[in-house]
Amino acid sequence: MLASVYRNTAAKSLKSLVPKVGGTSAVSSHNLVARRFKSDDAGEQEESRQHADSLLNIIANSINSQTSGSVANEQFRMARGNFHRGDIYKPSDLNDSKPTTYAPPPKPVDQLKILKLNPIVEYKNATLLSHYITPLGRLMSREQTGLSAKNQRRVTKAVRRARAMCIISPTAKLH
Amino acid sequence: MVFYELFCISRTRLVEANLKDLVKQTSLIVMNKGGVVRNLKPLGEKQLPYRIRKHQEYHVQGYQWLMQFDANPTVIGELNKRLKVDPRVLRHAVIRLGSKLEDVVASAEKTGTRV
Repeated sequence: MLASVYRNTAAKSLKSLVPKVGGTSAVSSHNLVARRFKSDDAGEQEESRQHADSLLNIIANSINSQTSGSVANEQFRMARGNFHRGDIYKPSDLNDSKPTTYAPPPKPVDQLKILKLNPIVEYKNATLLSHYITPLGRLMSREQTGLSAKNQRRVTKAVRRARAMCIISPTAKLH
Repeated sequence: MVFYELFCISRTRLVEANLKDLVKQTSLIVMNKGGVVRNLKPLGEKQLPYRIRKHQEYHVQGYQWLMQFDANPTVIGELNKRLKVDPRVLRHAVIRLGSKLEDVVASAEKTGTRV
């Protein structure tokens, strides 16, 4: 499922990942100033936002699944006597005992590697970085994020930069 | 030439001419030293995640903008010196994105961080 979504989004170029501040700017001169900069993203904002949302969903879902417990495995199901029609069982499955070995936990998947995002370049992207901080604004451990060692270091650097540059709060997760 | 990015938070409610002047002066610092300004991007006026104290005032909102440029490393010192003193600037950071464009573009294209 991940691969198919990635294929769809890879074909089109994603514009802004950070949701634009919804038109409540108090500065009347802001629009005038914006014309000074060559902005050409106006027409494709809505479509690009949907693509950006799907990208964020990938990241969010992966982190949720990694913090949850291990997936129920075949051995465990059988041992509980939870048989279904057509199941294949061993004689030892009829023993009323818990399995002696459990399935290994699912191998963590590095989302940033799959999506080919460089966290250092995304230090400005508060929405992206917010996935790697707790609700109190603290950095998540590598067990929780599932990132590789290299990407975890880079995310840490990006978050600390963003905090210093007043892009994200050190004490809260705002986005 | 190294590829840099200046992320700047300036005061809100600057008169249009004043903000334009700030951006222009900053670009000229780079260009006069033989650098190339590649991109100027407004990121909008935003509520800051925490209060900033700068130039003897407290600020709760800021206008964020971005300047991407190629320049000699010696230019950065000059840039920092000027921005530190400028009363219109609240925060500024020059980030080195890479020495090659290819390093930076792959990620930037996906999330719309224009390079």
